[in-house]
Order: sequence, then structure tokens, then C-alpha cells
Amino acid sequence: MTGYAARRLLGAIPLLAVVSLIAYLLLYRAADPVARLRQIPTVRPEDVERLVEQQGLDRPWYEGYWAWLSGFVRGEWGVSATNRGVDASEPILAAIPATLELMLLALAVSAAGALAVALTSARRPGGPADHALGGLALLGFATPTFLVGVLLQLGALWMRDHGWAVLPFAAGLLLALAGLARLRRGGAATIALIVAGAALAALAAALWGRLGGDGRVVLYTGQRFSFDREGDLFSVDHLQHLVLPVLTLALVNLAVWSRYQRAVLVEAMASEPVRAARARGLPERRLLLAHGLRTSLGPLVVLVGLDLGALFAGAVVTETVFSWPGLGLLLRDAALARDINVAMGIVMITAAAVVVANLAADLAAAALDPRVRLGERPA
Amino acid sequence: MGWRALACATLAAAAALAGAGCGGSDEDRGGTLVAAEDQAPPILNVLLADGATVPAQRVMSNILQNLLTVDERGRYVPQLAESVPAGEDVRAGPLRVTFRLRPEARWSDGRRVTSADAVFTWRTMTDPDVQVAGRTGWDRIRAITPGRTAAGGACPPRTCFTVAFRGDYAPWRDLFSVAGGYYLLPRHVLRGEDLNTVWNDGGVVGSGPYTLAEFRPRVRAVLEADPDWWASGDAGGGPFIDRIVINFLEGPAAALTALRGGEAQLVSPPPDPALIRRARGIDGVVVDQVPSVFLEHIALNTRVPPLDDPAVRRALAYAIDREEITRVLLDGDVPVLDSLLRPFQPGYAPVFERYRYDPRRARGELEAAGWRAGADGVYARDGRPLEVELVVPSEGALRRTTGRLIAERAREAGIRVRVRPETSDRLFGAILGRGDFQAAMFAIGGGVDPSVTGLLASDQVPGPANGFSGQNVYGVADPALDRLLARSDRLIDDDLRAEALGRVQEVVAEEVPLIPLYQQPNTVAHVEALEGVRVNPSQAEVYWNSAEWRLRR
Amino acid sequence: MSPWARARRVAARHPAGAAGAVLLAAIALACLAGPALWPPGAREVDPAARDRGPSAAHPFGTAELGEDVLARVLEGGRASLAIGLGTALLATLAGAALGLLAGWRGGRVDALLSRLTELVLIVPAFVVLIVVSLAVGRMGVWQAILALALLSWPPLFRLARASALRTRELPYVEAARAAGAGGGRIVARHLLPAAAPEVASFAAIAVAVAILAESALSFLGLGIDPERTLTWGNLMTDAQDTIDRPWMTLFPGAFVVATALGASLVADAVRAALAPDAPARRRPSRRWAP
Repeated sequence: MTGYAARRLLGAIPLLAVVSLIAYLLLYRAADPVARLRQIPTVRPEDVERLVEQQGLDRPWYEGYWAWLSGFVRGEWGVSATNRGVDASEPILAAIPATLELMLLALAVSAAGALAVALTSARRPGGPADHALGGLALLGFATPTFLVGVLLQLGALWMRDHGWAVLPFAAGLLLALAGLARLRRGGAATIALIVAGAALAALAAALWGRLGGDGRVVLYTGQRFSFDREGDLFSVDHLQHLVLPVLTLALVNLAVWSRYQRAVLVEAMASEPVRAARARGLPERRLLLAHGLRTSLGPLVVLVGLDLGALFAGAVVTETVFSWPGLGLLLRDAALARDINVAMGIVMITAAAVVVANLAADLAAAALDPRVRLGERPA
Repeated sequence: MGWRALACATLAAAAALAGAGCGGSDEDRGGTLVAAEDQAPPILNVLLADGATVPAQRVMSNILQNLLTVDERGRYVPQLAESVPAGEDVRAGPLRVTFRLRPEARWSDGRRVTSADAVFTWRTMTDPDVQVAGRTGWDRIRAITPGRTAAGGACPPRTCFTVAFRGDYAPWRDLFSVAGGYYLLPRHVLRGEDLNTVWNDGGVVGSGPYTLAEFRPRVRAVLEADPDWWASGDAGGGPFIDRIVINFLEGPAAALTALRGGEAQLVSPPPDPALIRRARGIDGVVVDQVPSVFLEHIALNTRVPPLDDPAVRRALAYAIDREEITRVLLDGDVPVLDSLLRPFQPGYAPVFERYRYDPRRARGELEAAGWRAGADGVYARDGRPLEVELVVPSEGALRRTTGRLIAERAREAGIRVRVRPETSDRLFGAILGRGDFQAAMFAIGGGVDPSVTGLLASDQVPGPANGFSGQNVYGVADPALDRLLARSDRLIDDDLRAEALGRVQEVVAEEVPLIPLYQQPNTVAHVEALEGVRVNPSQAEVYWNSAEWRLRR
Repeated sequence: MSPWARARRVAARHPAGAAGAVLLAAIALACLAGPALWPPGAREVDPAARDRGPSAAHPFGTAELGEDVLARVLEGGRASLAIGLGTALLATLAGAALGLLAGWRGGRVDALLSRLTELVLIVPAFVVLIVVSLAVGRMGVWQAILALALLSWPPLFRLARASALRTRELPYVEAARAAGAGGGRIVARHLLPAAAPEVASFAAIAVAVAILAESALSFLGLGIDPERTLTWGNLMTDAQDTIDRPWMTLFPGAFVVATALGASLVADAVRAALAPDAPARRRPSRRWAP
């Protein structure tokens, strides 16, 4: 296995080199540093000339690329055009923790959510819950991430003015609905669900005006920390900043993964060993939880690895909507400002991360599912 | 009424008088103001080419000061200097200006502000290794001599110095003014440092009311009130607000959302009326505006047909309804601008008043120049229709909608205007640089000084000689105008200069190399509890009087 | 059985897919016939009626200069649908054709094409889109289609190639080869029909993803410039102003969601109808657009 991994990684290096060349060419075409200088009122032609020379702005692309490449392998990623005092690697490295935090949390929420949804759906394939969740998943697939972010921001502003009682109210309604869906089957669980749901909703309605709503912020719509809690990862303030961006980023993946997981589970529940176990009299729920869960974890891990690129794309948009100081926002700013070195750095990092993640996914697939041979991907 | 009652009444009256004199109780002292900016400054150093940005300027104007600044009416007022040099302290032929620093001026570390700092600032601005944005005017200074006055006399060397220029240089006030984007630098802190990188992580020492407590690149800057600020008396005992936090957000919409959501108390949106309307719609928020030094105008390329004919340019000026633009698109927030200069600049003359929207006169100009109306209503000559392509920056909706409105109205005068949005980079780079346009709409302006030589002098036309970076994108090359401009730049006497500038503006109104539209508004939206904000038209901007602000509890 | 009857039967068995198809057809029809049905032009300015919410005269509200948002949405739909369909068509033709070729020929051709695909896949697709849009400068509909097709092509290539690899091992294909049938004939008569259902299904998804990608790019400020061509994406460029002018974002957004939804439903139905024996679990990450 290590041999395979080593071969994969080494084989990726020439690919990465080609990618870097193409990316540099494209970015070089896009940049026009003189334009920026001209917009400053006090700049005169002789100043522009001086600055172009001082900053080496008129080099041909191959000279620029060579300079970049020779610096890159040594860890000097070139001077950031928008932050001339520092090497491009500095803002990139500073931004990584924020993006990592966002992506990991969103990943966890998506994975857990997708499993939960898939389990509920696979319980009774074709049933009302399955249809409802499937419909919601389709809706989640079809919605642009930035739209979700903006709508959530709207919601946060509404809650600032009207309080957050709407959250327990909605939760109560959902519980009651879930209970009603099981009405035909009856039983203690159904009654408990309906009663609990109705009670929660009623309580929330009674406290409607009393829970917040006085102008205090419930959930933040921008940035990562408040100024007086900067760096305090485990504070309530940080949590208030995290909720909306993580939900935004998690939603699409949740929708897509839950459909995949459901299919895997349904297939697992119809497979030989499970049918045999069912014939032996094991209860459905235990079968689902034990066997189903076990077989679906493997594909889920592979999923996560393969979807890294899509997750980062989501992060770019989410960070823009919520001013989250991460790699995605940095890429967007570098793009708008035509900052070649920072953009190249981010392109190379994400490419390398995708290579590693794909490799990890393949290794995980081979490890978790003995039927898959190394080098094969699920069809 | 016994003597006791009389004593009480007297005490009460005395207390009332004392209270009235003080203005504001001590309960209004303190607090934290959170401001939201719509972009992050790349670096803090506003003097450098990459740092001359609006958010950096806003942060630094709390920390640093200059000899002069500009007040809310656009007049030069002293800041570190005792007064704006005048009379005997300003001698022409060649220009010598004497500045007298206020002896009580101190840097935040307690050291005095001295003439040596002025000399150091000049040397830094002209240091070839420092990548300052512009050296306009700085390279005209021959020497700075502490201890000598313009008249040749002596004065205390620590606080008094004379700046000697090579020749006469009328825009000298902008060099030493916050409104020019310049600041006085502390020699004892920065000597020996590389100015290109020294302020990358903060550590800015200034003489202003606030100090830089924390700078987190791309996230926020935190300013703390300097309890020993030397000019506290000027501000009535300020600065009153303990801390100003400036958060850098992603875009003006996010900043307004923060204001709306209570996450910020102050936002200064860019001059986009949609954003300003949005700010006005927020409960509990006050919106203040003032027309700024930046003016939105249409640049006409006088070198390419059909705009190489002044008659066509005049016709275009008549065919644009500038009043409708400011009324409809800007909600009447700013008036129509009738000259290349702004009203608060000395020498301003409303020469473009004659160009009210008048399709009839537009047609008259065209017909006198030999154009004939075609069947579709568009004028044509020699078989070619009169079409003007108007390039606008594609960022934001305002320019595009303005362009569309212009096209609509121009059609009624028989001119077909096509709007072409381009990114600012392409516009200010290749397009303006190579003269690859017929008409372009963008903003110009910067300093308070009324010099327009950089815009209209013939050697400022972008060409191979200056690397295509000149600002005379209009292509004006008139030797008589050149002489007039050079002369007005040398006239130290304000009245004579105003006269010369008046003649410059007349030429502009006759030849119409550009059409001024309006002054972009400088806008501040803040919660009602914040008192003392006075919007400033210059680059001294939002925080120019932050020492006087109070947060009502 | 007449085509209509057959269609009705398919629709009855796959009601969701039928609904999706109807939804797509309705949107397409509205956008194409828009100006005929709804007179106000997309670019007609009316400064007196600026920035108003939905009303009888303007069911979707008005924009900054008083333009009718409904008219703008319908006109934007034409470009957006063109981008979606154009991308899917181009990616399918190029990707599927090359994939079948690679699967059939194997050897060096396969190795070369696979390496090329890896090159495209190694950087996250959206990052590539950002860089390409920067380099292009003035993004138009054609440039968008080309860029999006470039990014949508690898999964189609992989699908077609995997299918060709599977199909060519089948006995009847071996028999055909032994009987002397030419490569082209085999590809056309055996490999292509075998790959068609999955490819068609994926192509439908590609339509949705292309439209989503274009709107995300426009949101970041890097998309097609609205003065040249309106699209649903660049109608939502100022999405963060939704808070005070929700109609400007929600209506184009609803159309994007509806189109993507319809395309997904059709894709699922196509796969279910034409390739019922294909494994139920699909390779995910079909949506690389945020």
C-alpha cells in the first residue's frame, strides 16, 4: 500500500508542475498593475515608471514564472501584490486555520446529518419520510450556496428584531409532524412525539416576545470573532459566529451525501447477509443500525475525500458572504485584485490537497471495502 | 425668601452655568465604537503605492496627523501647526513657507514633535528606495531649514522651520495636509527603518488622539484613546470614546448588514445611491452626507472622431441631462457640478452652467458643423452615423444605470450612445492608457488644492514618453493652455491664481474635453447614539474629528 | 405504440421525472416567448418607479432604474438556459466521444486521454473557473460555455470510458469483433447505446451544474457582464442587498432552483427508466459548483 501511495504522489508532481505553468500564464494575462497605480490621484507618470521598475511589474511571463517557480520550491511564494511587505505565503498560512475550521465543522455536520437522513429514509424506502427527505435533498442540491447564506443572514436579522423563539417553535412543529406521519402505526412513540412537539411549540409561542428580540445579536452575519474575543475558540461568541457559515456550507453536501447514503443503505439492506439475518428474526432496527451503518461508513469516507474540491468551492462562496477570513475569501480577493502570487499559492495548495484527499479516499475505500481493488473507484 | 434659599438659587445657577459651559456630562465618556469597513486595506501605510486606499486612510487618520488638515467646509485649518502660514510667512519668487509647530505637540510616546520630524518626512518622501505612491510636489522642495523664517529672520529651531521650493509652487498646502493623503512621520521611531515594511504588523506611532492597539491584517484594526493626548483641550477634553474597532468586511452590503444587525455602529458606504438608500432605511441610524473632492465626470477623447470636433463635444454636453442624473439616480443628494473644480476650492467658476439639458441646442451645434439628421433620428455625416461609445466601470450598478440614462436622453438629441462596461483594471490600464476609447465615465480628484495641471497639460497625455501613464486622457494639447496652467501653478497670490484658474475653466467650457457630472458624496451612516460626527469632503474623511465624538449611553 | 402513448406510459411510471420535464419545458417556454407574452422590455427604464417591490404592474418588482424584474428574469433565462444546454451538449459530445474512444482503444490513447482528464481534475473545478474567467477578461456566453464545458467534461469522459470498458468485455461484442466488424461500427452499435442512459442522465445534471456555476461566479463578481447579456446569475450579483430588496435576488434565484430541480428530476428518471439494472448508488460529487 505504501508503494502505491508513493507512486501516486510522485506521479502527481509533474501534473502539478503543468498546472502551475498553465495557471501562471492565465493569471499573468489577467494582471495589469499600472491600472491600479493610475487610480491614485497623486501618482504621476514618473512615479509610475519608478514603481514599475521597483516592483518589477514589466517582466515577461516566462521570467515571472521562472522567478515564481524557483522561489516556490524554496518556500518563498513571491511578494503579494496587495500586501507588498510580506511574502505571499504569510496571508495564505494565516488564512488556513479559519478555512480548516469551517470546512471540518461543515464536513462533520454534513456527514452526521446525511447519515441521520439516510437512516430515516432507508428505514422505510418509499414511505412518506423517504419522499419528504428526498424532496428536500433535491431542493438542497438545486440551491446555490450563496443564496442559502444570504437567506440565513436574513433570518439572523429577523431574529435580532423578533427574538429566537421561532427556533423551538419550528422544532416543536417538526416533532409533531413526525408523530403525525406515524399515526397509522400507533404506539407510545407516536403519542410521545405528538405531545412533545405540541408542547414545545406552545411553549415557544407563549415566550414569543420574551426570548431575545431586543436588538441583541443572536447569530452573527460576518467575521469569525468579535473584537474582544479574538482567538477565543471555545467561547459562545465564536459559536455565534460559526453557526450560519457552517450551516450554509454544510447544506449542499448534506443534500447530496444523504441521497448517496440512502442508496447505499437500501442496497445493503437488500443484500444477502442482511436478508439472512432478517430471516433469522433480528429486528429491523438493529439490522439497520448495525449492518447498514457499518457498510455505509466506508463509502461515506470515500465521498468526503472525493468531494473536497466541491467543499472548497462552497467555502469560497460562503466566506465571501460571511466575511470569513479564510482561504476562500483570500482567493476571491486575490482574483479581484489580480494578485498573481497569492492566487498561485492557493491554486497549488488546493491542487495538492485534492491529490492527497483523493489518495486517502482510495486507500480508505480499499481498506474499508475488501471488494474494491486498489486503483478502482466506485462506478 | 431667606438667605438659604438665595444661596441655593445661586449655587444652582452657578452649577447650571458650569454645566452649560462644559457641554456633555462625564457619563458620555467611554465606550467602544465598532465601525464596519467594506474592504480590508492591503497594508496600513497610506503613503505607499499599494497602501493609498480608503480604509487605510480611515484607520491612520485617527493615529497620525499633519501640519494642516481640512475642515468640514473644505477650508485648510491647522492641526500640528499653529496656523495656516500666511502673510509674511509665505514668500514667493522662489516660494518659501514658514511653518510654526505648536510647542505642546507630542507623539504618543511623549516625545515632542519637532522640525526634525518635518525634515525626516521630506527626506523619506523623496528617498528613492521608498515606494511612495506619488512624489508630486515633494521633489520641488529644495530644502527645509529649521530656525529660519521665510523673511530671512530667525525663529526657535525646534518648532519653526522654512520650506524652500525650487521656483513657485502654488499647491504647497496639500503637501502638508491630511487632505493630500500625507502625514508627518516621527523621526525618532522610523529612522533607520524600511518604510516599505515597517508598519506591516502595526506599531504605528503618531500624534493623533488614538493609538493602534492591534492590527490584524484582513480582519480588523483596534484603536485605543490616548489618555495623554496633547490636543485634548482643542477637542473639549476628548477623545471621549475609549476604543474604536474597525472591522474589515467583504463588500458594502456586508457592512450595511452589520449596521442593520447591531454588529456595527458606523459605516461609511461608497457613493452608491442604492447603498445610501438602504442605510437611510435602517431604524435608529442617521445618514450624513457632503459633496466630496471626488467628481464623477465623462472624459472625452479629443483625439478620435467624432469627438475630435469641439462642436460634437458641445452637442454631447447639451444632450446629457445632468440634473436628471443627480435627481433621479442620486436622490438629489448632491447638486450638479458645473466645473472641473469643486465649489469649495478657491477659483471655482460655474462655467458649465450654460450646458443645461437642451436637445435643441445640441442639434443646433451638430447642424452648424455639417451633421444631418437621418431617418432614424440619429445624426450622420458623410454616411457615418453619430455614435459614441461610453466606457463605464463595471463594478456596481450606478455607473451602468447612469450610462443607460445618458443613452436614453442622448437619443432624443440625435446622438447614439452605446454603453460598454469594463472592469476598472482594464479601464484605468489599457483603455485609458492607450486612448482606446471615445468617452469614459469615472471619478477624478484627490487633493483640495485646485491645480488641474496633471489633467490638462500636454506632457501628461499618456504616451511612450511617460509609459502611457499620464492622466491627460482627454488628449488636450494646447500650448496656450499649458502656459496658463503652468502660470497658475506658480501664482502664490490666491486672488491672482483664482483669476488664472477662472480662465482655465473658461477654456475647458469652450473646448469641452470633459463633462463634469456631480461630486461624489462622502457619506457616513451611524447610530443616533454617536454624537459629534461631521462629514468631511476631503480625504481627511470620516475620522477627521474623531476626538470630539461621544457615544451616548 | 405511438410515441405519445409511449411517453405517457413512461411519465406514469416516473411521475417525478415527468414533473421535472414539464417544469423545464414551462421555464424554457416562458423565457423564449417572454417578450411576446409580457410586453415591458428588460431594459426599459422608468425612473419614477425605481426599486419597488412586487405590484400588479410589476409582479416581480422593479430594479434600480425602474426596469421590470420579470422581464429581466425572462430575458436572463434565455442566456442561462443556453449556457446550461450548450455546456451539457459540448461536454457530452466531447467527453462521451473521447471516453468511448479511450475505453475501446485502450493503450496509449487511453493513457493520454486519462492523463489529460487528471490534469483537469487535479485543481478544484471552481478554482479553475475563477482563474479562467480572470484570464478571459470580458466574459460572454460563448466563453462561459467553453469554460464550463471544459470543467464538466471529465466526469462524462470517465462515465463513458467505464461503460465502454465494461461493454467491450461482453460476449456479443467479442463475437462481433471476431466476426470482423470495424471499430467504428462496434462503438456506434454496441458501446454507445450501452453508455447512453448514464451519459444522458449525467448530461442532464451537467445542465443544472452549469447554471449553478455561472450564478456563483456572477455572485463573486467574475461572471458575464450584465450590460452585454443578462443571465440569472448576474441579476443576483448584488445578492447581499437581498435584505432590503429581496425581490431582486429571490425571483432569479427561484428560477435557478427550479431549473436545477427540474434537471435533477429528469436525470434521475432517465437513469431509472433506461438503465434500471445499473447499481443504485451513483458516484456523487456531481455538483462541483457552489
